[in-house]
Amino acid sequence: MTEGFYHFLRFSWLTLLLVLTGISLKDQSIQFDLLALLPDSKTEKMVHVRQFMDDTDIAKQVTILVGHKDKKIAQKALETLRQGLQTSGLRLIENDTKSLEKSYKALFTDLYPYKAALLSQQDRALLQNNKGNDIENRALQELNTPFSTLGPANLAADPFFLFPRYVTSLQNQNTFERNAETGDIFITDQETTWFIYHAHFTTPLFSLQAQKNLLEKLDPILEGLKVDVLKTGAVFYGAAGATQAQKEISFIGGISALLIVLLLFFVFRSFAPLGFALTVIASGLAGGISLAFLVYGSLHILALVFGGSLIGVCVDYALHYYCASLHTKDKKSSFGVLKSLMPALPLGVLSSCIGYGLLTLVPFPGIQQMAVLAAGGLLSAFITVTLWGPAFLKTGSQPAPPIAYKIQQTLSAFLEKRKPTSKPLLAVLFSSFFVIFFINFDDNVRHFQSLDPVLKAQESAIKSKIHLSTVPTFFALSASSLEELLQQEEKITDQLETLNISYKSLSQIVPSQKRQLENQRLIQENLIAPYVHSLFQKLGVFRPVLQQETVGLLKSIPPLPAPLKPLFHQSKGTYTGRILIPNPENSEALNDIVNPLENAYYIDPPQEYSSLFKTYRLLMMKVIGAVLGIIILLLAFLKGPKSALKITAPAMYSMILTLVCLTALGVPITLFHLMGLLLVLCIGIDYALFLFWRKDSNEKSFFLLANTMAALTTLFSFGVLAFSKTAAVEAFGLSVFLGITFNFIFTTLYLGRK
Amino acid sequence: MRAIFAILFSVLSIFSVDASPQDTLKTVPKDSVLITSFTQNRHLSSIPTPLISTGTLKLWPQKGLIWATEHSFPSTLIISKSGLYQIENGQPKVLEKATQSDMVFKILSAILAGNFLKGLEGFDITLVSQDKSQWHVKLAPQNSQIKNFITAFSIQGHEQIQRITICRANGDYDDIVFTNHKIAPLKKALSSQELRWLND
Repeated sequence: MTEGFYHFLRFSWLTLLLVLTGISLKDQSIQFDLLALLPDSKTEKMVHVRQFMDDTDIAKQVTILVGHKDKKIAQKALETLRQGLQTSGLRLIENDTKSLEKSYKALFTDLYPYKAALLSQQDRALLQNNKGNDIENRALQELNTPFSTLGPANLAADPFFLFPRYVTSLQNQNTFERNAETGDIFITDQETTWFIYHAHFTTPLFSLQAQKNLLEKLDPILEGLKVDVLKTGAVFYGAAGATQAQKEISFIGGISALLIVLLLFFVFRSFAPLGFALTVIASGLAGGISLAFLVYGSLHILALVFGGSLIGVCVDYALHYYCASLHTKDKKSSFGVLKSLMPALPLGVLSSCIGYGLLTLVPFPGIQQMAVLAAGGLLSAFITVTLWGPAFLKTGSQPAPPIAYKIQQTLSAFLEKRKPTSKPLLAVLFSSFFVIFFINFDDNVRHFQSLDPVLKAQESAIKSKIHLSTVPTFFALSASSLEELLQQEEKITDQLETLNISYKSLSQIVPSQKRQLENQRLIQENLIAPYVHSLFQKLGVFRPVLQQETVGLLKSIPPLPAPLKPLFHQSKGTYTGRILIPNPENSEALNDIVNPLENAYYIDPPQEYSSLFKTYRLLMMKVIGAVLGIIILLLAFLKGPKSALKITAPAMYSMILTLVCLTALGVPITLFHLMGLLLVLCIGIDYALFLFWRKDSNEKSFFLLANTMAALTTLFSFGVLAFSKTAAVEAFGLSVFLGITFNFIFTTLYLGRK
Repeated sequence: MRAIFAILFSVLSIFSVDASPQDTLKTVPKDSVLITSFTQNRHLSSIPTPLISTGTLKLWPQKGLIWATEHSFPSTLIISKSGLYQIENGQPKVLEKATQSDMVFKILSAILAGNFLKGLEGFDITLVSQDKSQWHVKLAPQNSQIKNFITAFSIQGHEQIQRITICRANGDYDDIVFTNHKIAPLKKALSSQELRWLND
């Protein structure tokens, strides 16, 4: 191959990379929804979680309380807040509480004609137990006191106040006061008046920029109010997390970059290796991301982040190439340096790509995207190393920098003096038994949330003053007709009543027709017939005239106010009802209720997300095993099983020892620890491959130096993540820090001597 | 309805030393309780004869009120800072949370302090009549929410509040007559249980 053709290949590759990057990034779409990680055959429970989140829009809701001991000052602050938000450009729309009251009024007006079939659960229980006398006495007390809570008496239509009690049983826990002049809602708590601002964003704020924008615009407005302010909402947690993440990226990333630059310059006394490494990483990222976008059209953020981190392996290719150049005379020859890295370099790339390639067979989109991104990135990096390596090397033969030479010689001398022993390996094997018995896994999604403590305190303060809608657990039921759905709900709610568990359901508002007929019978037989004349006689009316009901049964759902809409969902001929459980205490008992029923589920949204994490964790464990197995098979095919085990043993032992250390420290293993171990495996195999296949002795080659530099750059880039305050990132970084350290030690000790 | 509580609390503690409410108003001393008997006639438009009940009222200013009906249908209602409760089996059962307690007790404090005639938030006050033995005041709500239920309060008294008439928007009205007024120290007037009800 002529040099001219080599140059042609080099620039063709650069052009191709730029074109592919341009095409693929043109209409990029990044997904943030965790459900997009699931296979098409999503679990029913996760589908219900998704529908519920869409119907409630909880992620977009915001609640701000402004308080002051002087009610007028608090009111003024609310007006200032409102004006500030209107001019801020934030896409925030205030919830209309006045129309909410009207919608509730409209609902009860729609239900009133059917009152003869509507009973509160408490009254129904009284009638079922033949305690109509209690209802009569209650009505008499109501009529005899000036402090009526059930409204004016309507003796002709509802002498026992059944409908007002039914309405009261459905009403919201919150009853705010309303400012007569402005209509704004407020509460009074320990002499402080708190005006309440409920609002929602028109679009969810998922991007870092949008969240940053929110804080930049909102914080000055709130600080300018000069009153007590409490705020809560998922968007604030997201924004705080994004701010924290950006600070860490800047700080940790800056420290990391500085350390790597200083290390490379200190050892190589040149910026060429740094430039080469950055070029290789950039080409790897560009190639990998482009390929993934071209194949899938969109990428999930988690696949992008973790797939991108796997590409970090390719910096080792650049370092090994440069170190190999230190003992190569003909650096500028197209394959001069590359020959000394054969077959380790292509074998390392091939084994990783095959391993990742097989991951595309796993039916989880997140894993597939990560695999394609990582495999494409490594391949792209390899091509860049091959074609562009010589461009970064100095011409002519030059001695290795003194520090580089010193490191290589020191390690070489140490290995020469060391007596071979398998005691450390035996210690690792023994400790692995410890791991098996004591290892703990943690898939609880709540433990991955690093919630801002200030926001958490504000949320608690708000909850102590008002009832705040949070994501409840709920039963989800599906049926082909409304009547079937309502009857199913009633089977569950009857059991909830028995267990004294509070709930909110559609069937409380619109009972099934079967239940309505029962109610009518109960009212007539157990209340009207035995007690109505007695009631009126006690009131001094001896010829009561009662209105006759002519309206039939309630057969459809009237328009529901916004807070009640999540109770019902209809699509494609399927009726879905949700029974919300605001304060679940015994999940097992709730699961037991729903187990015998078809198309009914008890759903705890955080638990479902935790299950998703568990699924991915188990999958990741299998992935690590599969990748390791494929690499062993490939190496066994090339060099025999004994050599295959010799090459892969350091990586295996380092992963086991990492798990042992984490377990000994009481750290439960999470998905993110395992993601780190996958990176350790991919990187560690390369260390072993380069040492196993080197042709020259340690005195003549710089593979020990290359591995040392590779390990240090990996520790500086990924290991420092162990200091992150974000739980997931910390877990990943800690796992890589320990794993790479152990891997470097084992690889050097057992494969370092030629 | 909540305004009824406020007005009821406030006017019951009014004492008049003269025919004019301003001149006769006295506050209930601190740590003292006003105890009075009441006879209530509820006139409901759908019932030809009024519903009559009698009982005892205990007012502890700034804390709350105990409305104990003895006849015709015994019951005990508590109105405190935290809401409206009915006593069942010795335990208070909430009927309504005191979300408007701030308004209720501000009115209460104003009345008990004797300031309601200088201006009561949310009400127009009119002196209907006065002579040496009695004065008559009318309170009309300004708030449209209250007006939907209550159209006016009519208060008559001399040294003590003798009568309150609550006029409702649907034509019903309550006529409450108070007699046997007494002021007693807190510890003598309220049992430990009653103290707990009002303090919780």
